[in-house]
Amino acid sequence: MIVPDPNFRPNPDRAIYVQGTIDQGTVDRLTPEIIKLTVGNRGPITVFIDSPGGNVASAEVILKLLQATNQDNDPACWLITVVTSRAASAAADLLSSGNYAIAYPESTLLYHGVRTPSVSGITVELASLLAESLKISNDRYAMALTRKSEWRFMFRFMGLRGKFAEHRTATGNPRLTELDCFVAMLRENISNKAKPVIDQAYKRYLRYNDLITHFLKVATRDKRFMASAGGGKAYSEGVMLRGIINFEIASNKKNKDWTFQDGGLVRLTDDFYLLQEYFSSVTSEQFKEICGRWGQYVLTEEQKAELAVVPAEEKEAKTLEKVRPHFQPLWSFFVALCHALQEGENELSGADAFWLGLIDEVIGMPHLPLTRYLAEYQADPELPQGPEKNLQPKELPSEFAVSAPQESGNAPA
Amino acid sequence: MITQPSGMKLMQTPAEKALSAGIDRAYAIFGPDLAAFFEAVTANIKTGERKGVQLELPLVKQK
Repeated sequence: MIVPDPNFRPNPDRAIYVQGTIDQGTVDRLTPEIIKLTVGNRGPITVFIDSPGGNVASAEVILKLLQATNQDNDPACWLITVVTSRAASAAADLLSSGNYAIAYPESTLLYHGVRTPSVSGITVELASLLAESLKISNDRYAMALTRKSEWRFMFRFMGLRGKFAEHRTATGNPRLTELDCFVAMLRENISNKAKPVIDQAYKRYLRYNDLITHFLKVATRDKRFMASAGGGKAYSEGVMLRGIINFEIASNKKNKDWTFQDGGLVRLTDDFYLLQEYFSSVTSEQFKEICGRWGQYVLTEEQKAELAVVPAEEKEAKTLEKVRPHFQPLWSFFVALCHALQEGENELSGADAFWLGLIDEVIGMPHLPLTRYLAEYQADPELPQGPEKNLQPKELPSEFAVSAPQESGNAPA
Repeated sequence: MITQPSGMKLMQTPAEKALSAGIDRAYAIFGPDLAAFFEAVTANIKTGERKGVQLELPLVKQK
């Protein structure tokens, strides 16, 4: 049975409304409301959103106020964000910033990259500077979106993982990887409008892999790089660039017109940033946390037994070593997806956003694998034949055990 | 599940604790197949009959 938990249910009595274009006026209007809600009460706050977006700095101010601690250094208030009609651009980022993000049916979400109002009198130097600055901002927002939504994406993956074997059988391809199965199943669940972004993300993910292969070839031959774990930042960047140059030359071997001067150098810069984003993501603390939390779901009994005898101080590293191969492709794909969402205009329905891990729930679609079910599910204590009407367990833990009916007093001893 | 700003008390909120306990409970019942948990939960959800809402609006069609 589902027992409603206020942490996953919108509450208009403790709510703010972000409506219209987000700007300094929105900050001015909402600041006193947020302060009243957060001072002296650390309960969940609902943020209802119907906005085309606006100034990213203003949206960040609102979010930071909502996530602020207090004088007792308590954790931030739990945020439930709800899009009632439209959440575009900065408002979509705000929606995904919620600890639990909900969309009303028929609402639309739009994710895209940052832009700057037109600047007059653009020179070559200014154009180059603007392009660089926008690129860095998009990378920053992509990584922020990854952080905000990583858990949702893991829930989607773990929620479908049990069906991968079925998918391999249905497609007659037993060699499909977990990521192949996951991406194919996501594509089945999303609308045609959302498919280009997932295809773009997959293309980006494959490019990561090609780049890594060429980088590793150069890196493993480089004694200084191998001996001193990188040999310093600039040196390891140099190794990275050499790997990319080799990769670009190899992949354009058949194209006689291809040169670094005519477009190749721009590609090299893009690839350099791509490789940087890959390495910073797979070595991040977030990735380690994910491996730690979901490790039990992917480790075999044999691996668990091996880890049980590992000394405590080595356990984390050993667990990471075993779990990493399962989650690294998935994590890289999600980073690629968050970057792909910053390119072009990505208008999504609530259901699309749910499957892409950007929100947690769509109202009116209770059959989706909603995260809150994990928190709200409780075995029904009133049913004497508990397991029949409750979830069918593989192994019934003691907390779910249903006590046997009392023996009557005159029963034989 | 959002990373808290530095300096904040490192503790799980009640919602995070509830989710964390839910993940472990689902694992205890279904093992690594979380899809089976969701299937079992959603199988018992009744979907209410959708009723169209007829609003009495002053409808206008004009050039």
